[in-house]
Amino acid sequence: MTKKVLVTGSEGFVGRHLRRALVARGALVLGVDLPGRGAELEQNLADAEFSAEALAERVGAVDGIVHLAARITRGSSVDGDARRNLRAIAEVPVRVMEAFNARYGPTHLVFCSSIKVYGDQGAGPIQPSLSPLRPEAHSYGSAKALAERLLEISRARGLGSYAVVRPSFVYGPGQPTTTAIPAFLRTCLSGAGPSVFGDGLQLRDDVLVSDVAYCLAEACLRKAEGAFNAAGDRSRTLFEVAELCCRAVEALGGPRGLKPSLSDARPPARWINQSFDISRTRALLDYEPAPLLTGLTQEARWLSEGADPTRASEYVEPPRGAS
Amino acid sequence: MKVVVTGATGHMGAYLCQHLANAGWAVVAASRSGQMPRVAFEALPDSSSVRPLVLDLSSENVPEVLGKELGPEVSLVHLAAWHPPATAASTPADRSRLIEVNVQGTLRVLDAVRAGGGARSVVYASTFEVYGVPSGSEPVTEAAPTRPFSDYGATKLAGEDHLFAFTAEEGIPTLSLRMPAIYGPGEHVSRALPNFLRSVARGERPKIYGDGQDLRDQLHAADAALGVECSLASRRSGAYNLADGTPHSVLSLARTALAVAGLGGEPELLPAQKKRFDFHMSIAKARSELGFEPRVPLAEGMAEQLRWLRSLPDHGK
Repeated sequence: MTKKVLVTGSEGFVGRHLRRALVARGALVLGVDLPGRGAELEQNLADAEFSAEALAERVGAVDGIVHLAARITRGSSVDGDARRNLRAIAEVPVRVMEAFNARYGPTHLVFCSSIKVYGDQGAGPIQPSLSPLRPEAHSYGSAKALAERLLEISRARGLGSYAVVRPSFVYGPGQPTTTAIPAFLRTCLSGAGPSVFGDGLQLRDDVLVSDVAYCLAEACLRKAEGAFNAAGDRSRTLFEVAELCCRAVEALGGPRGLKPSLSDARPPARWINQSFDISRTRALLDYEPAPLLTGLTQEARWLSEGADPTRASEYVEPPRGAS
Repeated sequence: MKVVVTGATGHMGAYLCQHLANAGWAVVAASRSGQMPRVAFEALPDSSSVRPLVLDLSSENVPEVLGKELGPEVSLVHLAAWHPPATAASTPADRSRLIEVNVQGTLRVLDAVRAGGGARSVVYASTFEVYGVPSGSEPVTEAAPTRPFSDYGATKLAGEDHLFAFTAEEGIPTLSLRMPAIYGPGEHVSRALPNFLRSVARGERPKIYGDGQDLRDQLHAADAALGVECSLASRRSGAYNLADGTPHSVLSLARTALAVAGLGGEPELLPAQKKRFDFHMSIAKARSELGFEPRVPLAEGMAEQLRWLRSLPDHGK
């Protein structure tokens, strides 16, 4: 029997890849996204009038729910934007979980959280415990942490079941192009070596978007519970990532022999060095992250061929776990 | 020195406004009703030292209304919050209101600081409920994991998280006081200590569900006000436990209630309704870093609260 999965934020960067991963597993995807983005259901989840009960009524029973919907805000943690985003991120997941469980019986929900809930816990590797301490100092991580806590309180009262998947820095075809990796790749594609701001030693973990989609799809269909880190094969310095961007462009047949250089044109941003333990994700979801060079080459090809976000999922390997 | 207090007409708020006014602060007492805060048995504060302000945390006009009162030399104490009647089982509607008032309301207050040109420091009333069930038998320190099992605790913790982000972004000190329920004249909630006093005020023995060995922290409203004053003076940031520093068993609270009422006998023990749960925080950090030293002995504070209950027409029933 075809499994129905409700995906909020289905037309976003991760959503499009998750849609492909679920379809490859024989599931029928019911997407929810903002009006005009092409989802099956048009709904702004940040609306004060949003009703989870009405959504459950409209959608009918489903075999699982994946909640992705969130806007990434980088401005103030307390302004109007942060407050609107908090409404969609923090309260909607638990309301949706409870509404479907109350109306149709057990319905597993997977919440796409973030490594921002961990904050500064040392260079790691960080284990995926259910109670991280202080989230990273920004409303995005604070809102995700609140969502997780509200889900756990509700689960403990028997009102639903859930998993949290915490992706590290998500990259790959379809990525919004304002962050480090697409900037490096574009520079390389234009024939120049990328500039790395600061000392280049910022430790980071990048995960390919189709690997995140894999974790979300598997956690949903397997009804896995608890917290999972969705991280890449290992953490690297920003300088290493820039070097691999040069190699990825080379592998595509682009300019050869490019090298990154350090630049102090911009003051170094606040940075938390982090790495993540993915043994629970490997053990319970049979997860195996793609090598960074593989994913960077996919993203470089997508960028060099017009960077069409609607075609992003065509640039990744066929999903693993597909029957 | 100017200070703006939100939740000023609440139990702790009234004590705080009085305490700060007596210490020479110019107090702006913000509350939904805009009434003058009043401590039981005390005269209304002098209107030259305490000025009421109408402020509704669930309104989008908070940044504008509150912003006008703030500035780099003004201190802010954010007490206003909502607590549902029963901690254990808040409804989805309760949860929405908790998020709206305790989280979004705190963001609006912090946005007022941003929009209003800053603050000298911000002190926030948090709660012991951010911790959830302690994992060991040692007094709970600020480094303990935060695993709230109530929506109230989760929303107060989210407020702390946003204060932490705000300090990183704006460079303004923010300090969170993790406090137990606060007792003293004016306390209207239903929980062990005031319930015991209401019983003895009627000449009845207090009822305890269980053996009464569970440990709870207590904090008198006057000591809570003192803790805020120490926090404002320190201009530090971070989380601090604040309580009277002594573990109190529920049984000892009931016996103290009998003693201060001059009644003999023992509390009535009834079958337990909940699993035993001990909670006791260490206040070593507040003592050493804020110079906080609680002043009100439990029996004295409870005797005063009993006197207040007896002064009410229905003995607080």
